[in-house]
Amino acid sequence: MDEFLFTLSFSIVPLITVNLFALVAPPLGATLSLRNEILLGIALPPVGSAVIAGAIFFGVSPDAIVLLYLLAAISIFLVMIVLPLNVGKKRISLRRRELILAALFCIGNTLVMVLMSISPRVEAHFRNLLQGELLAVTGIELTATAILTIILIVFGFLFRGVIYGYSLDEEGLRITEKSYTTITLSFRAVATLVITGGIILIGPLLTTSLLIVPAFLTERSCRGLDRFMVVVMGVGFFGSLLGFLLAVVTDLPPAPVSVCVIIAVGYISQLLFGRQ
Amino acid sequence: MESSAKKTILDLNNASFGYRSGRVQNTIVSQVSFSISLGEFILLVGPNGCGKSTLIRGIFNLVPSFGGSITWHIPQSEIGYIPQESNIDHDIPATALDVVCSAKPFAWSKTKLQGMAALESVGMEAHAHKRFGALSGGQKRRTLLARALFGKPRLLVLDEPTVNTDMETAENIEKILVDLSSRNEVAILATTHSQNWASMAKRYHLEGGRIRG
Repeated sequence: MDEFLFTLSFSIVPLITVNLFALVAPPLGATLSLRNEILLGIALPPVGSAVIAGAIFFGVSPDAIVLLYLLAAISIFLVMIVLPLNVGKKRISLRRRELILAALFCIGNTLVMVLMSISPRVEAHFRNLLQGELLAVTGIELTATAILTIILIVFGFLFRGVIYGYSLDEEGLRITEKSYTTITLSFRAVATLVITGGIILIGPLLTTSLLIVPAFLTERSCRGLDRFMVVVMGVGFFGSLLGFLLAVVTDLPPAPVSVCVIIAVGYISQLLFGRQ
Repeated sequence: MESSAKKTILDLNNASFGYRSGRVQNTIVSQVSFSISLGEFILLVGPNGCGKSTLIRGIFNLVPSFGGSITWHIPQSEIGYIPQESNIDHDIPATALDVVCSAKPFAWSKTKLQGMAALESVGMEAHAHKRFGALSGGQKRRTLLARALFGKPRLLVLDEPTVNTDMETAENIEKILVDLSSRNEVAILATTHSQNWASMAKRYHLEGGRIRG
């Protein structure tokens, strides 16, 4: 027990960071799944990771976290803006859109591996982070994450009707709401913020898993959108908390262990609530 | 002074719509002109493929315009719309009440009671808390109608409102729309390929992308 607490004391900052992300990433993933855009949750982390690996390869210092964050955020935001939608005059089919995102996933991961393997500048911290291991998170990063998390949760709660309307029937919203463009850009900006922060602070594996796994495992056992959002937050939060603690106990990498526990918690919630 | 029954909601003047494929412009609806006023019930009738849905989508700027003009005399927020194919996935955890209340997204927490009233107006109050995907085709159509009516629109646009519904549901929807129209509070523009539905409505026949009579 003493050894556990001693080890935990060194991991408390990453633990809190993971759990803060686990409060915002799952509802974002749930929203993406409602919009048939869950493949963004798979394709965008590798895009951001590839930009980070590329920036370091081309000379950006691995310590220049703010610059790396900005570069990753701009690339992710551009992909979301440029990617053709399923609504409007230039709409493409969902199938075609999914193919594009699947291709981005492949290209992003390939670039990450190639750039990491040939670049002596991608030092241990980033190498392990991009491979899915959680390492150091500073106090400043934790503070910024905490503030942004609180802001996102408060605004997400206050404007949840807008999120639901935008998710259920984007074309209808486009017809009836003159603030449609503002809503679209705001959603894309929030998604960029969460995904980019996740890649840099908790790694692409845990970011992608928090976006996808809670929504995937709980949507059939939820009735009602408010309940769906609360359940995905609960699964994400408790799954990542227990997973991280289990990783400390077993001395295994925290990201994959957390993913396994999130899956387990998701299945348990399915059993508890049943299929609706 | 113009009476409220004659207030013009929408003017189309020689409007043409279609699709672009690369540089090729494919005009589906050509030089269509009509107006719709409060209290009117207008039906666009025509066979499959004549351009009814393209015309509706063109009015809402969802397909390219190739000429003419569209003039709106009401704000966007006063439009209610039901597309031919619902954009709402059948496998999502939203309830019928969620679907209705999402029509007024900025007032989500205040609208549950009003949402229930909208569902009651179409006979769907007993199914309010069921998952939308668990409803039958006719029940989904009625829920979408409740959603379109929820914000008290002044123009209700319905693209094939009775498609994939049984006769009883089609008659129920017709009855609701006729009742709305008779109260002069809303204008209704609907499309259908059925020659018999809503026989009292003013009909425009669409053939080859043009209105005949």
